[in-house]
Amino acid sequence: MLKRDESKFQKFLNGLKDNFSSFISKMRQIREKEKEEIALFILACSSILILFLITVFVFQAALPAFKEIGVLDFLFGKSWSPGYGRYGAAPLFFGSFMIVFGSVILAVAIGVFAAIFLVEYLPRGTADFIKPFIELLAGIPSIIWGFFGLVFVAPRVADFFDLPVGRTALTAAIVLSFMIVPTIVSISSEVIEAVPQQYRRASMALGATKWQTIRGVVLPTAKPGIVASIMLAFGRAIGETIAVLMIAGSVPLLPSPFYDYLDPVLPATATIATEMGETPAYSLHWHALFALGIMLFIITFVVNTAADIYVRRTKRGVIMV
Amino acid sequence: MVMEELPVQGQKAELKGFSAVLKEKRNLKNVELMAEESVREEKKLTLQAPKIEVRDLNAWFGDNHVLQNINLDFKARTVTAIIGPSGCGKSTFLRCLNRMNDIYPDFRMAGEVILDGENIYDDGSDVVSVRKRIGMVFQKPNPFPKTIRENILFGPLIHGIRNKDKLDEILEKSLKAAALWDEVNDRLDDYAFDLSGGQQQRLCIARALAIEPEVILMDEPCSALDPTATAKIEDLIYELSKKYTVIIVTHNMQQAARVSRWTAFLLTGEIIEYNATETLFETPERKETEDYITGRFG
Ligand SMILES: Nc1ncnc2c1ncn2[C@@H]1O[C@H](COP(=O)(O)OP(=O)(O)O)[C@@H](O)[C@H]1O
Ligand SMILES: [Mg+2]
Repeated sequence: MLKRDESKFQKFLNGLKDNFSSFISKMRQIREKEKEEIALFILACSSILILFLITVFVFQAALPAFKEIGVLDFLFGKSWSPGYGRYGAAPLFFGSFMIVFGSVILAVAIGVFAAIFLVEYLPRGTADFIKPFIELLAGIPSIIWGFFGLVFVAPRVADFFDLPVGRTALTAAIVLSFMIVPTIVSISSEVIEAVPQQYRRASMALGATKWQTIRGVVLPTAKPGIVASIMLAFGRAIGETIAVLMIAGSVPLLPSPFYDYLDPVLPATATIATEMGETPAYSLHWHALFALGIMLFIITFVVNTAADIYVRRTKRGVIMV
Repeated sequence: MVMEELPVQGQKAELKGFSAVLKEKRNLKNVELMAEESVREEKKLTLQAPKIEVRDLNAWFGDNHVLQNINLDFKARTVTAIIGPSGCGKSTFLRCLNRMNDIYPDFRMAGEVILDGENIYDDGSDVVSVRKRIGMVFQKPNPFPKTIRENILFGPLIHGIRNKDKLDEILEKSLKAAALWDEVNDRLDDYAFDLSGGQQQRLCIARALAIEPEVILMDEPCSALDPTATAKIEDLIYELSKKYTVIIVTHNMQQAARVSRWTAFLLTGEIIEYNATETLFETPERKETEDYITGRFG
C-alpha cells in the first residue's frame, strides 16, 4: 500500500517538475519569439526608413528641374538636348516605353507558353532537368546580354530589315525579352504546377481535351501568379540600363512614325547612365536627370501597386506564388 | 444515420441489422411503387438490358496487377454499388468505365468495356464522347475555383453550346436535378467555395449532369461529408436512378444497402460476388462476402 502511494506521490512530483520545466521552456520560447519579432520589426522599419530617405533625396534633387523647366514642358517636350538647354523628356520615356512594352509582350508570349509546355507536356524528369538552366539564364549579367545583342542580334535585325544600323528599339526589345523571360517561366511554371490535380481531373472527366483544360481551368486558376511574374519581369525591364544603352541606338528623338520599332531610341535609364558622369553637380542638367529618375520611380510604383491591387482582389482559392 | 464502423457483434445480429435497413427501404419503395406503377413497369423492361458490359477486364499500374478478370453487367437506370476494402481496386475499376485511367502513364488495360453495344476502348472510339456520355463525381468535392454558374456551364461550353437561352436552361435544369436550385438560385454568381461541403458535392453532381450523360460514376461521393449532407446525396442518388444508370463506389456498407439495387463485392482486384443488394447482404453466397459485411474482415 505504502509503496504504491509513494510511487504515486513520486509521479505527482515528477508531473509537477515536468509541468514546471515545460512552463519555463514555454516562457523562454515566448521571449525568444518576442526578441525575434522586435529584431524583425527594427529591420523592417529601417528598410522602410531607407526607402523613404532615398525617395526624399531624389525628389529634392529633382525639384529644381521641375520648377525651372516646368512639369509639362519636361514631360511632353519633344527635344532632349541639354547642350542647348532643351529638356523635353518625351522621347526618352517613349523610348523606354517602346522597349519595355515590346519586350514584355514578347517575353509573355514565349514565357507563358514555355511554362505550360514544361509543366503540362514534358515528363517530370525532363522538366526538372531543364528548369535550373532557365534559372541560370536569369543570372547572366546585363552587360553580357548587351554584348550578345550587339554582336548577334543587331546585325541580324539590320540584315533582315535592310537597315544601315541594327541598333533599334526592336533590337533592344528582343534582347530585353530574353533577359526577362526566365523570370516569367520559372514563376509561372511554379504557379501552374501548384494548380491542384483534382481540377484537371474534373475537367477531363467532363470530356475536356488537355488544351481545353489548360485554357479553361489551369490558366485562369494560375492567373494571379502569372500576372505577378509579369510584373516582376516588367520591373526588371524598366530598370534595365546597360544592355539597352548598348543596343537601342541612343538617339534622343521620337521615332517617326511614332510606332516605328526600327528607329533607334534613347531610353530614360540609359540617358541617366551616360550623362550623369559629365554633368556638374547641382546644374540644371543634373537636376533634370534626377527628374528622369523620379519619373521612372513613379511609373514602377504605379504599375506595381496596380498589380498588387489586382492580385489581392482576385478571389480566394486561386493559386498564388 | 451513417455508421462508419460496425459494432462488433455476432454475425447473425449483423445480418439482421442489414435486414432492418433493407426492410425499411422496401417499405419506402412500396409506397412509391403504388404511385408510380406505370413508370416502374416501363423501367422493369429497360432493367433487363445491360447499359455497360465489362468483359475480361484486367488492369495494371506498372507491374501491379490491380484488376483481374472482371466480368460484370451494369443494368440500365438503376443504382449499382461497388463495395470492398480500401485498396482493392474500386476506384481503378470505376475509372476504367470512363477511360479516366488514360491519364496515368503507367496504366495498362486488357479486355472490353461495352457501352450500349460498343467497346469504349475500340480504336475508333473517342475519349471525349465517352466521357461526355459517362459522367463522374469524385470522392472529394472538387468544384472549379469559379462561380456556381461557371462551374455548371463549363461542360456545355467546351462541348460547343453557345446559345444563351439554352445555357440558362441547362443551368436551371442541372441544379434542379441535383436538388441544389432552391438553395442557390439567388446567388448563381457566387463563388463555388462559398458553398458548404455537401452543397459543393451536389454542385459537382449538377456539373456532371449538365453535359447530359447517360451513366454517372460516383467514387465514394459522401466520404468527405457529414451525415445530413450524406442523407441528402443518398436521396439524390435514388432520384437520379430513375433517369440515369448510377454506379457508386463506397466502403460504407449501410450506404450500399440503402441506395443500391445491385451490389458487387470487390476484393484484391477480383469480383467475389455480384448480386441483387438484398440477396448479397442477407444471404451472401461466398464466405469472403459474409466476413466482409459482418465486419470480421482484416
Ligand atoms: N494512379 C495510380 N498509380 C499507381 N498505382 C495506383 C494508382 N491508383 C491506384 N493504384 C494502385 O491500385 C490499387 C487499387 O487502388 P484503388 O483503385 O485506388 O483502390 P480503392 O479505390 O479500392 O481504395 C492500389 O494498390 C493502388 O496502390
Ligand atoms: Mg478509392
